[in-house]
Amino acid sequence: MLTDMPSPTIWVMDPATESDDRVRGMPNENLDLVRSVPEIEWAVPINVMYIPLVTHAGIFQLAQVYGIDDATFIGVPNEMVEGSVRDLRREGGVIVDVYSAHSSLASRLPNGTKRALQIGDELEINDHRAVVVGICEITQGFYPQPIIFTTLSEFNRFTSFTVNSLGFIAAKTLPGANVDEVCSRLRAYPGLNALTTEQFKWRMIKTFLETGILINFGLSVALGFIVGFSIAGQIFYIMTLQNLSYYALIKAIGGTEKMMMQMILSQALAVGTMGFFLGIGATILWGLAIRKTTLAFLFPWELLGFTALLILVICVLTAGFSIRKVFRADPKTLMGN
Amino acid sequence: MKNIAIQCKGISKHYGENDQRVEALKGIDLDVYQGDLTLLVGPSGSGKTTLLSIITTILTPDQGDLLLLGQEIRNMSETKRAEFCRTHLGIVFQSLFLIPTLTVAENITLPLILAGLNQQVALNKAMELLDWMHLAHRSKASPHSLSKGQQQRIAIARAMVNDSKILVCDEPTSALDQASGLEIMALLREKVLHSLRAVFVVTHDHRTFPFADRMIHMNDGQIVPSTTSP
Repeated sequence: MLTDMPSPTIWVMDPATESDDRVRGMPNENLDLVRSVPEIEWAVPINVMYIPLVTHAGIFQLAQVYGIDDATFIGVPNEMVEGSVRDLRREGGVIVDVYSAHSSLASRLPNGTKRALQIGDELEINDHRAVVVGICEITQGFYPQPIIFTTLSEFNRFTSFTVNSLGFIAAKTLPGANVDEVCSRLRAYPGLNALTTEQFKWRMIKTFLETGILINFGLSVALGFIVGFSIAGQIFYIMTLQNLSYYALIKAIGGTEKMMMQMILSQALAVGTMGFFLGIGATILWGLAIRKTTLAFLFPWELLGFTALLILVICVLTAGFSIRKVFRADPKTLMGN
Repeated sequence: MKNIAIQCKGISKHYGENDQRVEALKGIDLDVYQGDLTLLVGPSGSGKTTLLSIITTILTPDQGDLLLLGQEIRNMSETKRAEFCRTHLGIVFQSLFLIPTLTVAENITLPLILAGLNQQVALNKAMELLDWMHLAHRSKASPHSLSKGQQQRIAIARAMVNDSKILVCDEPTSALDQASGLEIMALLREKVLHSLRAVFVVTHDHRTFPFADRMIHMNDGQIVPSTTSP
């Protein structure tokens, strides 16, 4: 949401609201209150909610529906693939994200081909009629649900909200204004929380991490490490055991322990490097495979570095076990055999 | 006067302790000369393998001194000993231990690579040896695709690729048929052996006896006085 709406500098919300998927509505009057605060240039209402929808082909989905300011359309994504933002003024008009239009909301024709959701198609949002008036590009996120934009008045119709229909108030301060000070001023009103865009971003990240996702991800990484270490370690160790007589031979013909340590480490690193690039390749292929969905694929260099570090640790540990064994390889066993 | 390549002075070695104690070598005195093909023969359990292990520096004697090319091995550091082996000692094991994942030529280069030689230079030297042994056409083959006799020749090539002054062979003909066995002994006698190299062979194969300059008999951990020149 924040990525697609870069202009607001302040986000006002109910103190209970933690992120764009945990929203507690505020009274409509709060909009005028925010607008009346000095150094606020403009303020627009935004609401967001997960609402069930059914397509004309009977496909059911839980969509994340954004209700944006009827007058200014602030909050609608900048890039339209098809249609016009102005058509949101049509009764029941909604804009659907391009990825869902081509995947989860696409229907299957009798001849088996896929038909993407198109402008003019009707939808049923929470038992209310809606019509697709545009297809837009969005910033892909963590959740696979369709993203739908509509005006706040249509949003309220879909949700039957009347009084507390404000999820957020996105506001922009005047140039040169002290944003933190304006936030403090807003927070002084009962029932209001105001955060700068940066503060709101971190609050959402914190909420996201508190959902247990971090633990699940951490467990997955830990399991990956343990399984990777066990499999790689075992295979490498077995390989060493199978070749122990050759290490003994190398010792017998003048190979030093340092040489053998270098050999095993370089083998482990070579295998690790191959595994690393195979893994990166597979990950990139996965990223390419999901690039036309609402799911985001992020592969920052920090993750690449962390993965490389973990592989290095696995290589060194597994090589360590093998090196211990190889140091004990006894050339005596070669004699008389 | 021939130079001494291997000199054993009062070498003793035992295995086990107390009731299990076995005296494998009992004060062995032995000289092996450069330019000689020397056979060490004797029944099983006579101590041949133990003596061979000591000569190849794989085992350390309990007592006595081992001198290889005049150098005292006991006083060498581990690194120095390894370097000495890489430079001066070639070993042909009974089971050969040719590395199956390497080609024939790569197997031969192993001692040179361990000595830090450039891979291409090492390969060129291996190719020279293979050519000399009429096996150049098999240089890129896997060792397992060769006959037993050819494998034995590769093991000998590996042992002499570093121009070692001492070549030690453990039962080089035991797994070979009559023709191949004689071929290997002829190779050792006529091609490998020269005035600066000592070839020391442990064997119990009677077919090999006519190829020897000297034969040393062992029994019960001792050199039998009847040791003869054939």
